[in-house]
Amino acid sequence: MSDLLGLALGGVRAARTALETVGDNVANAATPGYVRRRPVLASLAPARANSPFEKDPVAAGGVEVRGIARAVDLILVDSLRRAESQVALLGAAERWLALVEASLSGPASLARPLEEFFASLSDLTADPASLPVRETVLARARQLAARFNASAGELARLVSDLDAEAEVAARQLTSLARSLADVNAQLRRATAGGGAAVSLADTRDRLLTEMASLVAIDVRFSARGEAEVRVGDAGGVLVVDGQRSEPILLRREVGGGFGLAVGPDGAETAPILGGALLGLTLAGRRLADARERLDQLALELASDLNAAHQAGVDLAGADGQPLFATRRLVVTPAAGNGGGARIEAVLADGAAPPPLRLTWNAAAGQWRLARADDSAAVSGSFPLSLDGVTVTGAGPPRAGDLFRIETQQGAAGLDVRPLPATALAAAPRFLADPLASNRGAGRVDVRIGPLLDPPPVPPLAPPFRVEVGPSAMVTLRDAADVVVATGAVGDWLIGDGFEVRISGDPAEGDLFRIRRAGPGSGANGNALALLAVRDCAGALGTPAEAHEALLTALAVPLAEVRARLEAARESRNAAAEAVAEASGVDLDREAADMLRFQQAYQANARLIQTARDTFQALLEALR
Amino acid sequence: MVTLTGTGNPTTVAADRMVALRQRIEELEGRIARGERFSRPSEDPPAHARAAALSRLDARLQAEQRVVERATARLNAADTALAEGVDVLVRARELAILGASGTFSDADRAVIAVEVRGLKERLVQAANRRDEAGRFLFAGAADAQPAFAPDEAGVVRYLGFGTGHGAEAAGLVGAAVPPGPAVFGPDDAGAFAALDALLAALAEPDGELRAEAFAVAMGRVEAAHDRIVVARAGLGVVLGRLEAEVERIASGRIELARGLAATQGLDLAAAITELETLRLTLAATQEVFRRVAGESLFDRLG
Repeated sequence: MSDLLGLALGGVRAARTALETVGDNVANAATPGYVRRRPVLASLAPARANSPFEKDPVAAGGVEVRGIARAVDLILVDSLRRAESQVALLGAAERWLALVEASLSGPASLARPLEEFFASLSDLTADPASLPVRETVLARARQLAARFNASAGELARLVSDLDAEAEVAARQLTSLARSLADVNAQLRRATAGGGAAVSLADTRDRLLTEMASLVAIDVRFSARGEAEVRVGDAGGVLVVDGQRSEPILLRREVGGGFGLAVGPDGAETAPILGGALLGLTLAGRRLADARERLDQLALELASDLNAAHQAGVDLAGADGQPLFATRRLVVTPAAGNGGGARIEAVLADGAAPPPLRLTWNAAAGQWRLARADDSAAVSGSFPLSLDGVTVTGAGPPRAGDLFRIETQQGAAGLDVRPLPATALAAAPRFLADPLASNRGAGRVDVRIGPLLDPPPVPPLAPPFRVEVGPSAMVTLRDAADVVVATGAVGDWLIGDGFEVRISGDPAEGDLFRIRRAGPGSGANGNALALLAVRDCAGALGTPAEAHEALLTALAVPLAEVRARLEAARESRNAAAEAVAEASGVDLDREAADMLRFQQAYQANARLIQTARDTFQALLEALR
Repeated sequence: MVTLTGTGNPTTVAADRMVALRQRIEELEGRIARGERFSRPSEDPPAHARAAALSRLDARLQAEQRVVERATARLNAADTALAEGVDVLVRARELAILGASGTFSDADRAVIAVEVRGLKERLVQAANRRDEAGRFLFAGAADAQPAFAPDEAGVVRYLGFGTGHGAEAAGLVGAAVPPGPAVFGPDDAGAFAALDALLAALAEPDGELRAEAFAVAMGRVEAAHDRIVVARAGLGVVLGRLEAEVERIASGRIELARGLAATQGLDLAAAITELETLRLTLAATQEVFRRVAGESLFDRLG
């Protein structure tokens, strides 16, 4: 009788444990990382030998709960981890590449400023001396430079933000590795199959998934469920081994990517083969490439336009100056400044100053302009000059006010030099003119050439003229009738700073005059040369082509990443569904289990009642 | 049946798919609002590159159109000046015929000379005609100063130099206003010299010499007249070319607009159909999710 009681008691306990497991499952149905539990029930062998008072005893031992098992398929979990890693990789790459693309396209695109600048140059060729047209050209040039500056600034900000995100990811990786090592330690101490071990396994799997979403990892499990983790593949660097974890540091690579260094001193280099960090690496490389292309485009454009502009003559008759500067000063007031001083800094042509700091010394009543490393300084009142930077200002400063003066280069440094509209060199430096009395059909071309070396003594006197002589020979003379050069029709004759060619069918005695374009010239030859930069194919193609190539270099990989991301999400969803099928909490199944275990509980309770009643009846019979 | 994944992603797979559908709907709504098939290069890189090229070409054609219109305006102004020059020389020829007539007295010839001097003034003014920007049309590249001015001896001389600006930026050579000597002739044998010769003939007291001088002056006036007429004809040809160029640009821009619409434009009917399909799909997905996830066996247990 007491056996029946023992059997029923075991059954009640087992049913209660099973019901608790169902309750745990239902309670955690929406808990991330929770894996469905199931009680491991086992029938027991008879606990003792048959009693001599029992005839034909039943060999029954009842039931016991051997432990709580997790309904998990490790292969499916591993597949899901890899799928999550791929989604994280592509998601990070897509997010950052989209930001890079946005900073160079749509309203931030250089296409329109480029078109408008060249359109204004086209207008200049039709009205080379018009001041409003010249002002428009300068305004469009400033607009173009500002667009370059803004895009470069935006890309620089993205580099900084991307760097910060990668740094956070690396720190998070270190933290996850440490947490995983702690879980490993607890797993070692936990009873196998116990509730604590099962919960720890859940936590371990969640940590592994989080690690895998950051970087590709290779995981091995010990018999007790402790995870050994390597960054990369099976041959990667060990970062979690039992209770020990290694710090993981971020390394910046040349070209915009990242790497990982493992260990307190970062001695071991670990490759990034997957996860969000690989996405950040891919985006970082594209970002670096975009910055380089943008800088190159800005510098080539400025170089070509400056070269063309310097070959011309402005409205005052002077040689053209460089139109664009490729270095720009940026004055940044410190956040703690309390005064109302406004500072302007001007950079001398060709100067490449180091970072400077401007401070107000209230006690001395002086400004101090110094290099950031304090290796040189000047003090006094405005204007102050150091390393080619001249600083002026207005407004009242407050003691301790600080301004940082830094030089921007490349696309960020592109600036239009402070030129008046009259300084725009639309005319070519030299003009040529056939006399109206010429009898032949000769044509004259003139272009810039080197100055004569050594300089002629006495100096040649402009204007020059070319006379066609017998046998199609031509002679270049200055105003004092000095012969400068001779040659045949079709030859380039070298003058002093120019070269001239007579072609076509000139007649003997025909004259062609050559002179420097004077003030107010309405010639448009140099405006045409500036406009020709639009179609000038350099190393990157024309400016428009280079810009389009810059966008395409981002757009094509971004489109590919998006397509792959969509596929990866589908793949991840499929893997998640497979894991859910195996490990997720199905409320219908839990409800059915609950009924089953509830009935088992009630039946076992009834057995106890029956055993008690029977035992009581026996006792009553003996009285 | 409710199956919750519990895999680290707090959203269910079904919710993830609904979010994806919602994003596609929002993206499509944006495209319909803009009327464009794509707004970012990555949405269709080849089409974006083509649209960008077409857009650049259109901007270039617009700029060329302005250049051609400017050149046309200058040539029209030059043509008006040359028409006046022709009138002047026609009248000068009439006066030369009158002056050469033996019935006119010295006093009559003096009156004619006054008119000829007036004609010369008019011709100088026509030769120094300015464009709307105030530049002297016939001064070539030196158009900040008058093209012609009399020297100390009263001989009108050409002060310009080189060739003026035309429509070179539109790829057209020879659309500049011709320099003064090409229209009015050289200083010593051009239109002004012809009027000077006429004045000299009118002032000649000797009848025989005067007759010879009138013959020479008449020849020069006619030559100058013919030169300007030929120059006007040349201008007419160039203006015709510019007109054809304007038409070419206009038709080119129409073609570009068509190309841009085909490349970048949104097929509204297809887009709206797709939008409706997506909305229906989302609504169905939500309803299915609501029904499936909204009930479990627990609801049936008493």
